[in-house]
Amino acid sequence: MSFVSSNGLAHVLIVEDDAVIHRMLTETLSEHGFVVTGAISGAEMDRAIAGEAIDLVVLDVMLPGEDGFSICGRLRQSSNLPILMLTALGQEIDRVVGLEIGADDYVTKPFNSRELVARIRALLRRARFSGVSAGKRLGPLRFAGWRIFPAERRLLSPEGVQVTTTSAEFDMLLAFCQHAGEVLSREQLLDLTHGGAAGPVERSVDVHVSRIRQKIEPDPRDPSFIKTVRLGGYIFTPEVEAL
Amino acid sequence: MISFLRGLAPRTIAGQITGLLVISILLGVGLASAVLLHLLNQGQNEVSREIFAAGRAAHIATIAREAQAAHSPEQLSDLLARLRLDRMAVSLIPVDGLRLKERAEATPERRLISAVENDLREDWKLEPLASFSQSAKREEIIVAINDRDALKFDISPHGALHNLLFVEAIGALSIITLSILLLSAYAVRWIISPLSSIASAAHSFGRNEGDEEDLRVGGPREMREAVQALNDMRKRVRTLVRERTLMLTAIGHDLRTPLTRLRLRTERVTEESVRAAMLQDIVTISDMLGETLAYVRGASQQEPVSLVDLPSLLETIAAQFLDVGYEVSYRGPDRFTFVGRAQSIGRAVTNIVENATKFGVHAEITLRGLEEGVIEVEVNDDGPGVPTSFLNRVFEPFFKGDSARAQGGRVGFGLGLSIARDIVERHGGAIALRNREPHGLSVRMTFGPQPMAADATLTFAA
Repeated sequence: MSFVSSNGLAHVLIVEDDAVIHRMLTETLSEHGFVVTGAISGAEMDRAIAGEAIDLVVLDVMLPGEDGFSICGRLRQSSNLPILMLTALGQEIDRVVGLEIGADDYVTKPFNSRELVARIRALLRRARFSGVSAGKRLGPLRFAGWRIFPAERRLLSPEGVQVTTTSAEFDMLLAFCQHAGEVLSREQLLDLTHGGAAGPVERSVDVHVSRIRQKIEPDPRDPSFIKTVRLGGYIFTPEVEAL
Repeated sequence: MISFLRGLAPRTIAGQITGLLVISILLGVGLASAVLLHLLNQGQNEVSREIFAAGRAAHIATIAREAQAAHSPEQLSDLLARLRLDRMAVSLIPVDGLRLKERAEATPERRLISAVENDLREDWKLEPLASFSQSAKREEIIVAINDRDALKFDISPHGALHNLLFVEAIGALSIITLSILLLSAYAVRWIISPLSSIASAAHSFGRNEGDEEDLRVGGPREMREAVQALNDMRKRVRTLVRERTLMLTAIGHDLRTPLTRLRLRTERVTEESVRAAMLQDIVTISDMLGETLAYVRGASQQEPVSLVDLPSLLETIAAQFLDVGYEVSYRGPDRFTFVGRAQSIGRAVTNIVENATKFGVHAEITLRGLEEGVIEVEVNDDGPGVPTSFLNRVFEPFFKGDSARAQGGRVGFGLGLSIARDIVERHGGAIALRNREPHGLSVRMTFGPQPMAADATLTFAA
């Protein structure tokens, strides 16, 4: 198993066939303190993983020969490495396909390299924090009648009604479910939700929590699911079980 | 006059064919009756008149005897009722007031009535009280049955003929016409029912996902040829659409790789203002590509119908805009369940809000439940609104009104509203634009509830 020690440099494997993107990604990630190895196909990726201690794979969907989805599925069978996919599709449905196959996150081309770096960091933090690899597939969970489907990113109320959330809200709710009964600090929550690197306006954890409460609490003014812990953060009270 | 007749003509093929059949049958029967009538009139020569007169005289005598034998008025009226049933032109009249012994002259016109009177006198020993011949159509003989009453007989041959032709023939004709009407309605329906299925196939083409299969109908050869032509046309249209989809998708995909390179290079540009402007353009191109892909996919993708909590969907949209710096709020119920396609509705509302934030500062999404499960989503902004001359055209794909007014140079392909309209229409709803006072635009969308597959809620639970 390959895990980054908290003070060591993370080793990222880039699987991308376009030479220019490949080179520039390598430079950008190196500048941000990652050790970078490159591969231009699934076969090269296999050799790199066999030979070196890789912490995370950045995988392009459109590759000559075996495509990214298929590589991702294959990789997921043999390893728990965090996988971040680069896709040109950018549709919700493709995101679902990618996440179902086992990718941990995805970035749409043309991406913002700042966002890419933020997501890579968040994935690595998540892997470290969870104590298990982020890549381990999470099955559906149930709490207080609600059902949450991490792969499909769907949330169903006890009545079977689909409730929509932003991706930050979903990630945060999922983090709560994985750590039910534990006090989570705002910092920990921020780490678990990709660092909120999406837009120019940084939303505080409190905003996301209040939005989640609005959507799932029986009475949002008197929350019973997500309780505020004075000076500590938040605690998720319902019992969570695997479906 | 002709146009008036045309207005009376039935609108459907079935009606027209049935009408033609009925008219031709009526004409045929009418002509045949006229010929028959003419022949009967011609055939009244001496011999046949004598035979006819003898028959009449016998008839009159029998009835008169029976009437004379009647003992009570009841018996008499029974007899008359029976005769009336047999359609004999007989009536009971009082003897008083009759001009007795009036005799018609034995003119050629009166030969029939004289012959009957003679027969009565000679063969049946009955003396008629009187006889009248008011016209050729009405020849009457009156025979007394007692002191007070007499029977009046109409002996004209026309009476019988009229009865025969006009009562029985009309009855028969109505039955024939009715059965032909029913039969032809059935036959015509059988022949032309393929036409209706052709029409419905043409109507539904491109609206339902399940109409990929060729239309199959029997019927006459012309009909089969029309179906074949329609099938060929549907195939060609489908191929064209598929090619267009493939082309646009390929463009969308393939442009993203060079655009990614450009973006990564741009991020290294040291001059701040140049870099910002370039990045802005790259974002614009990328948005346009995304928009095109969304438009192309919209037509080909079918999202399953499920129970959707609309407030959370609309709040999520508002939050996504809020998080990138726009003022978008939601107003409406906290919980509201709707049966529909969450992603599609979300896409439609997002497009409208996107448009609102391009031109206005603040946008508000309002949710209302209407009757029969229909919901209304209204998006109001405080921008300049849309010039009245553009109101009808904004839904056309690639239509861009006054894009110079857009804030921050955010320009799309002009597909956002078209996509929204397509989605709304697939949900059986409508979309309408209205300018607000003093300024701003209001977009009102309705969505109808969709039929849900019975196991839809279980799909993800399984």
